[in-house]
Amino acid sequence: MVSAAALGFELLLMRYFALSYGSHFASSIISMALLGIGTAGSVLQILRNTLLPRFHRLFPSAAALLGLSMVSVIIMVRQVPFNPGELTWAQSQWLFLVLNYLLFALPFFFSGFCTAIALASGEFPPGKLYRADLLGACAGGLGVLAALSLLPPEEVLRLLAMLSLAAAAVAGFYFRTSRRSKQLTAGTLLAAVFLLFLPSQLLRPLLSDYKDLARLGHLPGTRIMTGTDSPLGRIDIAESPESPVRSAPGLSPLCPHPVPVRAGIYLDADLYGALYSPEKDTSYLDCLSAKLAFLYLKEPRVFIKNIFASAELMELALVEKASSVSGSYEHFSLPELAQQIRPGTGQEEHGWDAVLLEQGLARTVLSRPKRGATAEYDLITFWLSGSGAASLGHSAIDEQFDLTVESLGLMLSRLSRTGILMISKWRHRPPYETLKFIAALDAAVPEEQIGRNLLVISAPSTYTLLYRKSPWSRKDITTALDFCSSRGFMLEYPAGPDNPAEAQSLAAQVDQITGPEAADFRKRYKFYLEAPTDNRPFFGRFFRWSSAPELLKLRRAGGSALLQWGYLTKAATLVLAVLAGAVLILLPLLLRHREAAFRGMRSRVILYFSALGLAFLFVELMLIHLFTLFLGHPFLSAGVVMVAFLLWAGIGSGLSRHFSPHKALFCIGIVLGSYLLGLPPLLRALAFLSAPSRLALTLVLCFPPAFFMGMPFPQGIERLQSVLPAAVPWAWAINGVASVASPLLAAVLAIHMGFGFVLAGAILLYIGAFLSAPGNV
Amino acid sequence: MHRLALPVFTAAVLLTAAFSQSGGDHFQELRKRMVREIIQDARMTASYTGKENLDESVLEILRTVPRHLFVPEHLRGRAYQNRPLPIGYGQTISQPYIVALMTDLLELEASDRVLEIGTGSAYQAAVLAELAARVYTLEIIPELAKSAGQRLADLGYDTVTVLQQDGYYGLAGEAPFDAILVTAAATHIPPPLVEQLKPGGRMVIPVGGPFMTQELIRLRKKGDGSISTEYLLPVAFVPLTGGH
Repeated sequence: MVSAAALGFELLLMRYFALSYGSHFASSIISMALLGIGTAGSVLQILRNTLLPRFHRLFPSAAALLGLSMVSVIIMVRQVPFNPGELTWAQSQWLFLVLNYLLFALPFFFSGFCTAIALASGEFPPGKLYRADLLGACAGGLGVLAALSLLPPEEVLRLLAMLSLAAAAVAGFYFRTSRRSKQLTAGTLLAAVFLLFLPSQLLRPLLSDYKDLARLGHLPGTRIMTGTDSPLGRIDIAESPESPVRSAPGLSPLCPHPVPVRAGIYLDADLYGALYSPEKDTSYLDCLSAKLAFLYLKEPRVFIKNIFASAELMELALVEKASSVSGSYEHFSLPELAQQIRPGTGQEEHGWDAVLLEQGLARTVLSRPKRGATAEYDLITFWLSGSGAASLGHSAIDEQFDLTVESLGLMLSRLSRTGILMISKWRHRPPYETLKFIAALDAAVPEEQIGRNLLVISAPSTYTLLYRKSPWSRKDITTALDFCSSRGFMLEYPAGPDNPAEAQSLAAQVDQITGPEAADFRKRYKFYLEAPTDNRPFFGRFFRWSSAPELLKLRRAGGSALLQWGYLTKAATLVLAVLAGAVLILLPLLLRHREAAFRGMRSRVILYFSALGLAFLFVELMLIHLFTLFLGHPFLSAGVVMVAFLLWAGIGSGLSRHFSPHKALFCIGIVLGSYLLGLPPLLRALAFLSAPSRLALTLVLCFPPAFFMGMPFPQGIERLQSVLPAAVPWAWAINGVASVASPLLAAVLAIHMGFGFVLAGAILLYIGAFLSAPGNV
Repeated sequence: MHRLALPVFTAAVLLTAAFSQSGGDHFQELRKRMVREIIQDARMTASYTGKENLDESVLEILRTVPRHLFVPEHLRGRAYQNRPLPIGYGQTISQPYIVALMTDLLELEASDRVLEIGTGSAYQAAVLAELAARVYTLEIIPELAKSAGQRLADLGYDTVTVLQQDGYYGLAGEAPFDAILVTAAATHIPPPLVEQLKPGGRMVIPVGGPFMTQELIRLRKKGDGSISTEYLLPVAFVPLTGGH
């Protein structure tokens, strides 16, 4: 129950963070949790003689404190004026970040304390205990995912806190020999009543004032039309008569036609897109830069990625009499919500019924076998957003599988012979996003010089890129020039007599990045331009340490946008996690433990338990990455892999006594080695399977590594219990420190070296564990 | 006791006057320091903006307009730091360097009529009022529009009119304008604003996704109604409320 509540809280915090600070901070939660857990081991080790005799009383107390601290931390953090947007300007914000980090570690301290003291007590076999820990966490994870679909986050928090108190009551009953058990039971009951009547608004996630929906809330007449919570995020549809959404990126500033006003779709309170509804006056579409593609295509078959964020593209395709319009979307409840708001639109010629909607990443949808009208497309189009510059660099650490070389190759393979791939994106200077996209496109068609097939036009705020399988003719380019001149747009590429390229122009840079000197150009460029691949799917990574001094100087002169804050935050959190881990966990233990007997085996204990701590999450994160493409959604992959790992590792730890540590570690090495080489092609070959089959297969494929990976930790603890019981909390703490750093280190390594490297690193770590395994101790 | 009343009162008045005088001097010194930083920033970003030095008249105005009276009371100590500050309602007062740069880019003359979209705390409007004949400023959030209007009236800026409305459509009734300044980000340049610009008029606007990096653009309307654009600097602005 304690593990269920703790893991449930960890997942719930991701929702809280997404609403309060943005989802890029959510990845730090695992590290915060493990910091708390590791510190608990450290405290237990230092105060071992005082705490262990009171095990029966302390266990239920810590379980009760877990529940109370969950609630208290959420209430306290509301008072900390942390605003990630101010990290550039105010040093105090870094202090608030550290304070938040430490506060959020508190509940995990109590959950870690429960597990550590139970392990150190020697009253339960470590294998069984570890199994209960993992299976409980698995149940907690599943429970919270289900609860978040039915209840708002604050009520899920209340449930988790109650679960912790119930754990305290059960433990109190189990250890009722304690003289103070009655007081504990009474205290727990009192706390439960207090929690039950605690006002919901105190527990509600604090919506950042800088969120779009929060700001819209300040305007009179704003109305939330519908909304839903889900583990993937909260979606709201809202309209504001004072300030409606007018979605028309790439609109000519000379456009004489009105842009339709629409309700907005908000994801975690950030504007995601305009809610499409058919309009009578669609003449504004003629002013959009995306209209150019339709001058080259007659009644095309159109595919739109993220169709709910592209109302104007959908409208354009329908008005231009596309013979078919298909679109992908990632958030499951969007079609239902849209239908709730505009129930009548399905009956009309340009309504939702005219569109084929398919759930999943665009490349997952495109990789599914198709027949008839959707076997191939004449136009595949999307709005390129969420990359480095566009989101202040926060998404530098996000995996974007739709923008990799492999994904673009797939899109091109689904285009008809004369088909066009069109993307639009914000215009930025320097144009590193555009150049990176072109570099990826170039890598996707290595056999061709893509320059002749590429056409780029610019509106004041956007670039629109059109890539065609066949080269553009002179007539096509004249069409583009005429189109641009009548709308105040510019033909950026190719350069020609009518639009000569200057040395620093986009055209000159495109020529360089697609020419024979491309590698040298990428090396010299101040931002990272290597084409993203499935192994390193970080389209948003532009940061280069060599450019950091110049960018840091510019940050207060309007140039903070050029810094990759997502990447820097991740690197800073890694340093913070390692420092906090060292100060809170290792230092007290090193000061305390100078016994000669212990010193003799210290290096082995450190190597064994730190290797396990690092490697476990390396493998888990790598598999989440691999299954994201297979399952079609990162959150789905994270949920399924995490639950599968806890389940299978729990069973593995329960059976750990039947295997020797060396045998278990050998099996892990063999399984991971074969996964490193064989899993990606296997998953690609099985992509045609139905969604339930893919889900079931994911669970099955997680079994071999997770089953064996559940064994080495309890085996090591059991061995220590027999030879040096005093070192058990110490081992727990070392494992905790390694686990704190593991997810952050894995992310940084994946960005720089790729996911394959992370998995190879995990294999090496398990070899290290093999060499220092308890059998040798 | 009564005999002491007068000297105590006199001393108190003198001390208050001296303190407020020193407070004024203090703020003046901070403003000067702020402008020195702005000059450095302008040099640093010259390769982007093409401007090594900002117009001296703009800098002189920044040395005089009391920015501390345009920020929430609890942030007055930070008013002259060269950084944006929150003013409530999810809005911010822009970084002084950006205020200076945008004002400079408008190339204002004393007879100009200016439209500003996104009043916020009205600091930018006050700066514009020092350089132009007439300033109209539109703010969509009712509370901010009200407090900005009151603040400007209290400070004697009687050439500025604050109106509470959506800035997307501009102010057709008072058009055309010599210059339009948009201090909130938009996903596209609103065509109604271009229409309300005089031939030869200038518009400075950040464009890009809401709460993302935007590009600061200067647009000029030519005599034939066509436009030319210059791309100046990547910046980050609070979006035009709603999302355009």
